[in-house]
Order: sequence, then C-alpha cells, then structure tokens
Amino acid sequence: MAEAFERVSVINMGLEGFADAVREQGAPAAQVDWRPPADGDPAVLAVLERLWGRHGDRVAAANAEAVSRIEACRPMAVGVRPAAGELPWLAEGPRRLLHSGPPITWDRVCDPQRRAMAAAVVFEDWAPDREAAYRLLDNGDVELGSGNEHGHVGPMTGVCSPSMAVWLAEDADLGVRACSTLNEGPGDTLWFGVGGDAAVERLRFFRDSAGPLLDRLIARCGPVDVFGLAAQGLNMGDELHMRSQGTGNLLIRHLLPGFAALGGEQTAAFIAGNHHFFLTLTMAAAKCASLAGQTVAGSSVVSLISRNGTDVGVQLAGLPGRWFTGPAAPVQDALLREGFTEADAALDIGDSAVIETIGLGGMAVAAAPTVASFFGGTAADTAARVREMAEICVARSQRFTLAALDGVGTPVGIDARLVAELGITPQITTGVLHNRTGAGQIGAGIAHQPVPPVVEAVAGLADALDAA
Amino acid sequence: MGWQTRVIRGRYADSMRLMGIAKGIRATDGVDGAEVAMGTPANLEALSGMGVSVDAAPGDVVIAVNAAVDAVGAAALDTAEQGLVALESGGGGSVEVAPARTLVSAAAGQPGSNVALVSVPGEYATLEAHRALTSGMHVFLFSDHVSVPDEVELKQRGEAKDLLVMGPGCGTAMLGGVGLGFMNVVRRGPVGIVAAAGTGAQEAACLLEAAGTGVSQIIGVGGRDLSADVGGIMFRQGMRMLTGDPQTETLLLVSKPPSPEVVQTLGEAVPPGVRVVAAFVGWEGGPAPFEVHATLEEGAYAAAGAAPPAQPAMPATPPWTAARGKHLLALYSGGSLAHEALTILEPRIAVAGNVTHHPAPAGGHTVLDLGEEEYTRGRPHPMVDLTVRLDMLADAERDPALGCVLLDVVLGHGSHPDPASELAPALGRLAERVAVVAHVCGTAGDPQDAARQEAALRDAGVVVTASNAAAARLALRAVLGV
Repeated sequence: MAEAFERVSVINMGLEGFADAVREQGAPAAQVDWRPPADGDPAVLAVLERLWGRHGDRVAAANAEAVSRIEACRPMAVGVRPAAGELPWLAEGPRRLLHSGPPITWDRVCDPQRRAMAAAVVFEDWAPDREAAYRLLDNGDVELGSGNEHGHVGPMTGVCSPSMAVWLAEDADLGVRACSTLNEGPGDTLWFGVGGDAAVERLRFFRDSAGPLLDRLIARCGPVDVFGLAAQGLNMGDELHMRSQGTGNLLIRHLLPGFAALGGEQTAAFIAGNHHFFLTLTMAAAKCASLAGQTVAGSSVVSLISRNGTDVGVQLAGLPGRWFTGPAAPVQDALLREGFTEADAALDIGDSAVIETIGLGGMAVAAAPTVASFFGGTAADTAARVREMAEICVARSQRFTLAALDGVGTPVGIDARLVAELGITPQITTGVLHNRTGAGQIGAGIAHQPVPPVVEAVAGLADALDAA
Repeated sequence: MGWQTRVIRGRYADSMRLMGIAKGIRATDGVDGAEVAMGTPANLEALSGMGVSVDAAPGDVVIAVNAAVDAVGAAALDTAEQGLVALESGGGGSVEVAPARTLVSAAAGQPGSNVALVSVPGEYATLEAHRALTSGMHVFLFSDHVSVPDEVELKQRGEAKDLLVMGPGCGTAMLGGVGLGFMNVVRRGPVGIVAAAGTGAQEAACLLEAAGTGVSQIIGVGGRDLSADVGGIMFRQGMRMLTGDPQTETLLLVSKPPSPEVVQTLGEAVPPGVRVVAAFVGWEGGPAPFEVHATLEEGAYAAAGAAPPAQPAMPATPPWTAARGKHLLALYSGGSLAHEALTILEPRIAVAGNVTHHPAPAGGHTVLDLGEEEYTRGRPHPMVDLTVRLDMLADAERDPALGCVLLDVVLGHGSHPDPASELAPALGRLAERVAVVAHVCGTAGDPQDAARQEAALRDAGVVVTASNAAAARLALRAVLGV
C-alpha cells in the first residue's frame, strides 16, 4: 500500500497557500524558494527535462555510484619521487612539461604560466638561461601537456617537469594514483609565476634533498592517510584549500619521529616555514578520489574543474576525458597588495579546484572562520555558504564533517545539472597573480567558476544518454 | 551475546563526539557497556583490557557494544555509526537557514517527504514533476499548459515507479487525510475517490460527508487523463492503488463520460469483488463493468449506500412565481458543477454558454463556467477571486428578461476565506426581483464553515440546497414554472 495513504509530507513549489493549507492540517510542508530554472532559458530547460525525466533514474543511480566511489577512496601518500618515474608521459619525449588547466598551446599560455614554464626549462637544463628557454618554447621544442590528462595536478601555474619531486598518492585497492609537486611556499616560485633564480634553486633543493628525504621519512613512518588527517584538520580551523595549517601540523607530527632518526634540518625548516605545505598533498589525494568517481556512465557529477589562466575546463564523471571549456574567470572581490590594481590581476588559474569536487575547500568553508574573516565575512556567512553548496551537490560526506555545524557532512559530488539550473558554482578562494611582470602573488580573492562550460557539459551528457 | 565490535575504516571523528555517542549508547536498555573511539594503540589496549580484541588502525573508528541480546547490540552499533554524521538540519538550529532552492535540497532538509505540490508556470512544471518522480515522490501537478506528450511521459514514469502523477491541471486531492490544493475538510471514511474533475471530487466528498460516511483518499488525475491520448494511465493507477488501501472499501470514480473503450479498461484495473461506483456526469447509458450514475449527487449517495435528501419545494414567493418563461443565468466557479447543472437542464431547455457546444446568444438560458481560461487570464480562479461573478451579477440586475440565478459557492482550503460576505449584498438585491438558488459545496469543518456561509446567503433571500443537482433542478422548475 502507498505510504502516502497513511502519512503525507509535502514539498511545495509555487503557490505558498498550498503549503500553508497542508500545515494547517497538521502535516509538514517545506516551501521551495523556486525561480525559473536557468533564468528560463528554454534550451537549457529542455536539456534539464531530459536529464531529470527520461534519463532521471539513470543519472540519479550513476551519481549515487560516483559519490560512493569518491567517498570510498582512501588515498595514501606513499612517497615523494622524481616526476618522470611516476608520470610516464613526461618521460616519453625529450622535453615535456605538464601545466595546470585544460590543454593549451604555447601562444595562448598566460604570462605567469609562461614564466613558470621557462623556469622549469632552465631547471631541467634544457636551456642555459631564461632567454634561451623562451626560444625553445617559442619554437615549439617543448611539448606541453595538461597535468590532469596525465595523472598530475598542480596549484596555480601547476607546472611539473620530469626531474621535479612529486607527492605520490594512491589507493591501491581502487587502482587510482595521482601526483602533485611539492609546494614551494611564498615568494619567488613557479606556482606564483615568478620563476627567478631562487625558484629554480629551490626546485634543485626539492630534487636533491627534500624529496628524497621525505620519501625515506614516509618509508620509515608509514604512508600518510591524507583524508584521515584532513578530517581531523576540519576540526582545527582548516577547510583544506585556502588553509591547511592544522592539517600540515598533523603531517609534521606523523613525520616527527622520522626526522629525529634521520635528521634533515633544512627540509624540516622548509616545511615548518611553509603554511601551504599540505596543499599539494590534499590535491594529489583529491585527484585520486576524483579519478575513483570517474567513468560512471550517465553521471552528471563534476569530476574536474581546472583553470590555466586563459581557459577553464570542466569534466563530468559520466563523460571522462571530455573537456568543456570557456574563458577563465577574473578573481573577484580581490584584496590586493599596496601598489597593485585590478588591471594587474591575472585570470583564475590552477588545478586546486579538484579539492572542491570531493567535498573539501569551498564545500567545507564553515570549518575555517578565519578564511571567512579574511574577506570580511562572518561565521554565519560560512554556514550559509556551505548550505548553498549543498544546493548543487548530490550528497553529504560521511567522512568530512563540520563540528561548527553540529557535525553535518560537507556537500560532496557537484551535480552539473543543478549548477546549470541554479547558476551557482563553487567559489574558490585563491591567490591573485600579476598578469605581466612576474611580480608573483599580488593579492587574494574569490573566483566564481563560470557556468557556461557546465551548461555545455550537461547538454553533452544528455546527448550521450540519448544516443546510448 | 557479549561484546560486538564494528570498525569503520578511514573515518575520523573527534574524541569528544565519540565519547558523546558512547554515552548515549550506554543509556540504551539492554546495553551493558559501550566504547566508541579511534583505533589508536592506547584505545585498543584499553579495549583489550575489557576483553575486546579488535583489528583497527589509528585512522579507523572502533565501536564496541556489550549486550546480552545480539539484536540489541547490533542495533546499538548501527545507532553509533549513524551518530558519526549529523543529519542535515532543515532549520530549528541556531543558524538561520535559507529556504531550499530545489525539491532535492528541500527533501534533504525534510526527511520522509513523499508528495510534491507543483504549481509553477506550465513551461517549468514538467521538469519539476520529473524531478519529484526521480526523487520517488508522488506529484500533485496543479500547473496547466503541460503538453500531452509530456503528460503521457510523466504518467508512464509514475506508473512504472508506482507513483501518482495527479495532473496536470489537478485542483484537488486528499492523501492520508490531508487535502491537497482546493479541498474541503471532510471526515475520513471508506470511500476512495478517483477524479478527473476537481470540483466534482469536492462535491462528491461533501455529499459523502452529508450522507454520514466519509472519504479514505482522493486521487485527482487532471482533466485529460481519460482522453484517448492519455488513455486513463493515472486513473487506472489510482484505482489499483486504492484497491490495495485497507481503508478503502468502495471506489467512486468521478469524471465526464469517458469513451466506452476506456470505461472497459477501467473495469479491468481492479480485481472482481471490489465495489466500484461511477459518477460520470452526463452519462447517457451504455455498457459498463460497474454501476454508473449521471450526476455527482446520485453517484455519491450510491457509493454511500444512502438515499439523497428529498428535493426542496419551490418557494411560492413572487420572485419565484414570476420566473416562469424568463431566462436562467447560471454562474459557476466549479467546472464539474457547471457540467452537472447542464446535464440536468439541457434535456428540458435550450442552454448556451461556454460549457455547451453552442455559443451564447444574448438573452437566452446561459450556463457559464467562470473557471475557464477566458475568464481567468491575469486573475485568480473564481473560487478565490469573486470579481468576475460580482460584475456579472451587477449586470444581471439590469436584465428585465432574467428570471432565475443559479450559482455555486465552493469552500475549503484554497478558496476565498468568506465568499458569502461578498456575494450576499449583490444576491440580496437580485433576490428581491428574481429567483436565486445556490449550493454551498463545503462542510462545517471547512475554514469558511458551510453552515455560516449558508445562513448568510439565506438571510439575503437566496434558496440554498443540499446539493448542486438539487439547485439545478430547482432553477429548472422556476423557469419552466412547474
């Protein structure tokens, strides 16, 4: 017998009087703050009708499966290795570089990413100096690859060359693995698009000292349960994207006995002085979980949001490998350092939004009131922000919970259908790079990810399901 | 019996939260001891000291429960695991919660939601109805302007998922004793209604109440369900579901007369032995697998197993005696009620209006359904907004050929809060000169209180009948003078 013949619990869309009448009769009724989907765009509406209608059950099941795979993934950091050994594509040609964002040709690469690439060419000794490096790049003598297509995710400019030291995270049971460069910290770095002599020197230090030592430390202390630490870090004021200091300290705690045994003061000092050190570990682990959730035919879960300072690219779990791109967003509400203006600001860049695809970062911002206060928001604003993110997500995480919100799970599994319908995208708190001088980070702000590539993605998914 | 353990791999929760969960479990009847902790060496050693051996790592949550009865222990393990994550709060906490933007998030904030009411503009209604079906919810689809192919696709999905798609254009339903849309407050009873007509269902439910019985459920299906294009998908689905409802003993079907083929398929929707009574308003006879009545009144009283009240006598007052040979003007807010009146009037007098197949010639007998689109553009339904009817009544005051005014007053949730207060002055002026007869479709339990509404109309000189059919018959006698 129908349960509704015994007990009615109503969701009301439209005339509020209908909900009032139900409540007057003693039954629960929740009113939806309804507005025309996709601002009433008939083409988007037709796509959404297909994806909630004839394909609705298929997509719902696929999305549940994608989220359960993301949630089941338990990436362990098993070592720090030379990139070429873990990322075969880098080693398969004479001069190859990986970069953040969707694939791009050299002529369209933004200024900060060009500087990072030139520094990587110098670091690899493919050219004696930056001028020569630019000549190589101009001549097309360096092959460029999108990190996301080859197992790597990088923050900001996200450049990775064969000799760089990278974290290796994997879930051996699920057969997923991903790498990310060691985080360089502030100042003259590749990730901020400076790429000076100090940056290259630091890469050598990573390659020759810090990387090998970290690999031995992990071998001695055991693999790092990245999400286990992240779940604890959420209770220590981290949201794991803009801020991961607490979690970074947990990593140091994990490695501390090893440092005592093996020494390594210079590496320890570097880690202790870099409050973003954990960021790329989170990214590599998040990429593992994102990969685990991929290849679920029919899923509208966003598996990838990735920017290169020129384009933003989106992928869906149901259409793995297929990019939907558009212009990268400007970083809004930017707080800039003295002497810089919005005209100096480069566009949004980096692979770090992979963190938002698995339920951390912008999905967990209520864990980090300090991040909110940085932009003049309140703790209550962060709670509202998490709630807004839940509007576009398939589920709530079981493993990432927010003590500040009485232990609710973070939203996980961005549903592209809901993004296209509501026009709500993940906000990513990110650094602002200089767009032409190599001044590096000139501020920080919020990058609202663009909706149009997501709209294209849902249309692509509907077509794929029609054809199936 | 004894200690049971569960290890949740790769899950972190703060020790304060875990201790709080353990405290709650310990307070459960039948639980003699409980620990919930991360699988650190120290915690494992402590558990070992209690005789609990468990294989866990520092990144795992360990739940251990000591209970004499295994089932109690297992339930406690489940409770503890569920306690690791709080349910999404729909409000009530310390933080102001913004209203949900979609059905999906609204349902997450109100667990157990099972019916979606959709009254958004028609071009968006199909999406919302599909979304509700995807979420496993029945749909009450008030919206109009949903295409026939969309309606068929929605209803076929609903049928496949054993869910109701009530509409498009459905105004009335009642599930589990809760009226949806425009619905009267009626006693619960053994008659389950499936209706392709909103006010038809309301009138039938009110008459069942008057007959001393009541309604189990009302499943509205929208006005097009029994058309050849839709083929009665939801009517049959509703009948099947009511057959499985232990509170339903008799099925009452309310509709305009469907085609003979469709009537036959309806008979096949329920197993033999289920009592089915139909009120197919305007039914002219023909083969049917169940008993069919031509008015709502006959159908409802047959379903109740009771006789309708005696027809009231025609008043002998001048407005009524003067009505003979003059014209009848019927102004309806309920489409089914207008149609029922027509069924009674048309065999005896020529009637024009938007519910007939004849255009309205000026000055003849006229029956108008003011709920039709030509009267509702840009304004609410006449059950809510009396403006159109009041304007027409004002015009009628200047019509010397007019002999009788017939109207309905539909009460219940969703309708005008006090229609008699607005209608009585206009009707009072008319009643000094012409016969005025009305039926109040409502109950004493309605927010407007039918008894109070009827009294206000009677005070204005209106004759109020117990059914719409009785009102129509009285109006007919007035203009015929019999």
